[in-house]
Amino acid sequence: MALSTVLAFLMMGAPTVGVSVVDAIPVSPLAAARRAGQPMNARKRFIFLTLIMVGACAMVMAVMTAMLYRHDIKAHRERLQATVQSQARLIEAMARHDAVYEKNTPGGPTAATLNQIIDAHEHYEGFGETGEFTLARREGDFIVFILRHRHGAVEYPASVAVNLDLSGPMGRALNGLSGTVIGRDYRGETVLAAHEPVAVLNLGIVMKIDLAEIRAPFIRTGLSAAAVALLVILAGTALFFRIGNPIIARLEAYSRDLEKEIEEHKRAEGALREYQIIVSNSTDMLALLSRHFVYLATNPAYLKAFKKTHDELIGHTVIDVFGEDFFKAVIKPHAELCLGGEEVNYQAWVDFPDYKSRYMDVTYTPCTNADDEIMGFVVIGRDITERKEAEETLRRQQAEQQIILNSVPAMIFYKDKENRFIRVNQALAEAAGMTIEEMEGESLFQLYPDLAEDYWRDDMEVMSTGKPKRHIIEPLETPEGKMWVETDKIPYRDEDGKIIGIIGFSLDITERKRTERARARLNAQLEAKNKELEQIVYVTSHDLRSPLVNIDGYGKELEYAIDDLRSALGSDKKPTEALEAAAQLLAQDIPDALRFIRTSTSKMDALLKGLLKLSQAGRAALTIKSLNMNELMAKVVEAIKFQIKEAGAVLDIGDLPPCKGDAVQVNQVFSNLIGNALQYLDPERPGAIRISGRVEGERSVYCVKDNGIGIAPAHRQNIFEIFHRLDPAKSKGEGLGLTIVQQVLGRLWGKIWVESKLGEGSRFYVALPAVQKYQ
Amino acid sequence: MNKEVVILVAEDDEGHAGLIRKNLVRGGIVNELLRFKDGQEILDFLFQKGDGPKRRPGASYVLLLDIRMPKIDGIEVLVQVKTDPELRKIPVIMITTTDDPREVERCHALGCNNYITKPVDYDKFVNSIRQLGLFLSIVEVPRIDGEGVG
Repeated sequence: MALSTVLAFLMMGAPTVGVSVVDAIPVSPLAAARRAGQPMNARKRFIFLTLIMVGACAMVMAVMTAMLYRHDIKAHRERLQATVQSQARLIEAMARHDAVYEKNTPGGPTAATLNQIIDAHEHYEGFGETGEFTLARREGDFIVFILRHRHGAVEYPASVAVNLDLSGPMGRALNGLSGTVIGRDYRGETVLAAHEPVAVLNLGIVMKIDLAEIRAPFIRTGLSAAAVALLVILAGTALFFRIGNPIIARLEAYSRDLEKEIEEHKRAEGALREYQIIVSNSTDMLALLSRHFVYLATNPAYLKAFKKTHDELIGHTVIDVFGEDFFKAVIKPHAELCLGGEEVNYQAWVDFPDYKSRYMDVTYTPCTNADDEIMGFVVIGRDITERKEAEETLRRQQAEQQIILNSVPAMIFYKDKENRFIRVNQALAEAAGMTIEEMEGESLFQLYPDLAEDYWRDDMEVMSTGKPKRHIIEPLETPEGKMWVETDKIPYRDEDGKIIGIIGFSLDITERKRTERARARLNAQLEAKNKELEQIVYVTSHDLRSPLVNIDGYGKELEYAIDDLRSALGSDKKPTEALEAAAQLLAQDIPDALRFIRTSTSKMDALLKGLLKLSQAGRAALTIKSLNMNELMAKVVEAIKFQIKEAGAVLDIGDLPPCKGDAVQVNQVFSNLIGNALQYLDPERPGAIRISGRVEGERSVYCVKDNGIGIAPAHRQNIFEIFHRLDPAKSKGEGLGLTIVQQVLGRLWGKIWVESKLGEGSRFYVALPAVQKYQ
Repeated sequence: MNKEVVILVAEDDEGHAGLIRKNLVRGGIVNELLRFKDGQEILDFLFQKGDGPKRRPGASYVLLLDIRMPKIDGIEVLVQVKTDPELRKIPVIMITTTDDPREVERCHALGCNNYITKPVDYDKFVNSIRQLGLFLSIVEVPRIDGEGVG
């Protein structure tokens, strides 16, 4: 910044406060004038100038001609009158002479006189071009011309009534008038005439000349003069232009320059005024300091802040205002940097006379003079205390919020529209196994690539509807495995109510979820158990009733037999017949009845034992753990080695995946299945049993495959039924094997199903929970 | 009842079969009686399959059918008999220990002609068989023609 400019701004201090900005806008009067009257172009100017000069000349000439003309008329008039009067006197003299000496002349003396006149007139026709004498006498009321005339066709003009023409000169003469007149003669021409009565002869004499003749020289001279004048005017004008145009051009150029200069000056002045307004009205404190920290200039805000007048500050140093300590500690270090040529900005608490400490944002800008040397610096101080305090408050509030956020057990997070964490609390960071810093600002697509899409979908729903979404059950990956959380998401709005993200609250419900799942599993188990019990009750009631029917029935038969015996023995039949009948009863009916009764009781016993066994199997304590199925299967095979050998079957066991279950119960399951396979081998072909296994999702599935007789589709649904036997005649056992298998698997969260083809063999599939990371 | 009518008893329990026979005899039914041990045997007889005895064309039959039997149960036998255009004419009487109303209803829906529960109380059982004898004595038993179906 140039020193002079800065000074100029600062010097124009308070007095100009209030100058309206409108005044400062410069309006050039010259420009306005030029718009109003454009200068004529050269052609117009030429014509205009010529016309003026022509007018002037014409006026002068007219005045001169009029004066000369009037003088000429007067001379003519006098000459004519003198001549006519002398003529009249001459004629009168002649008449008087003739009256005396020519009395003898024919016609009398009058005629003699007239003849002499006529004769004389014959020799002197007139003067000039049109000048002539006329002589007339009065005959009654008519004028009779005596002399021949010069003009026209008429030798002698016709008589004219005297009374009728007093305007004519002759009329006036014959009426005795003497003088001059401008009027019409006998031809109707306008003439200048002198008229005189001739007393002796009662004649009138007129001497006249045409006015046209008098005017003619004037017209001729006038025309010549006008022509000459016109030429001179044209030449003069041209000459004038030749000389005047360059001068005009120079003048115009000069005028334009001047105008521009004025405008520029005004603009500069206006700009300066605007700067001045800005500086004076700025709430920022502005000051110009010299290299030696002396105030050169300040604005009103600066003065006001330090409660100083202009004179109290200018010429003093900053040390006077701020004190030695503050100067050394704060001002000097920064100012020295600035005087080194760079702009310096810093914030500091500053004490003011009236206020408490204010937090100031201070800028020092180096100031150069015309030679580009740093002469001092401009100080701009701005009070940012409120901003600072607001920032402090905000920081404190945020810290408080963070404490609250971190101390609640819920996991809390703010997310933006791009699925990024804006803020997370300690609980969430701990659960996620990261630090707050690692999570904030990070996209969930980065942190949880597998789950981010699902989280994001809920966010989008909340943001698009603007309504909270509650009770979202979702997983969260943690270092300890999958955590289940229940999350509420609400829209996150800015001050204008615009949705800028979501706020989420998550609660760890893994335990609850686990309990729920266990409960659901338990319910399913209970349901299965109930069904199973129902079936057992149903089947048992039937199967127990069957032998009861026999016991009761054959008991009754025994009674009949006893009755028959009694009647046979006690009858009056012949003893041989009676004995025969008794023998018949003893040999057939009674042993039969007893046999049925005994069979039925032992059947009932077997059934009850079976039920007990089932009940025991269902009540056995379970120890669920990971089972090495390869080891377990080896133990199973070891136990039934003998039966396998006896059946002549080949047993092939593949590699089996582990599962979760109770070792004793799972052993029972496979013992039963292999036992069944051995029992129902096809005698037609050597038995082959294969056991295999694989993991399918969350469960391990094992298959016991045989090449035995197979199961017809119609029987397949019954094979798991309690006490059901495919062929009681051929097979041993109480029909409990598969029932127990099913029951055991039900308790171990497992499942059994069968695929079979009659005559080809069966495949029994057993599914048990697989061993996996998360449970 | 026509003496030519043969009574077929499908009953896995030998004792039950004996009781039925004895009581029918006491009730005066002395027709020929054939006993089958399970559902498979009676179906083989009726459809003239396998190695065992076979149905005679032109003869008249009445079928007493237990429900719970090995291999093929009575319900399945009932279904097969009642879906055969010729065999369906044979009157079928269910004789079973089960008195579950659903079971009774199911058998009636499938087309059984009568349903008798085997009561443990012997007198009731005897009474039931007597009633059966009465039923058999009044029922019109058609001849079953043809060489069998299927």
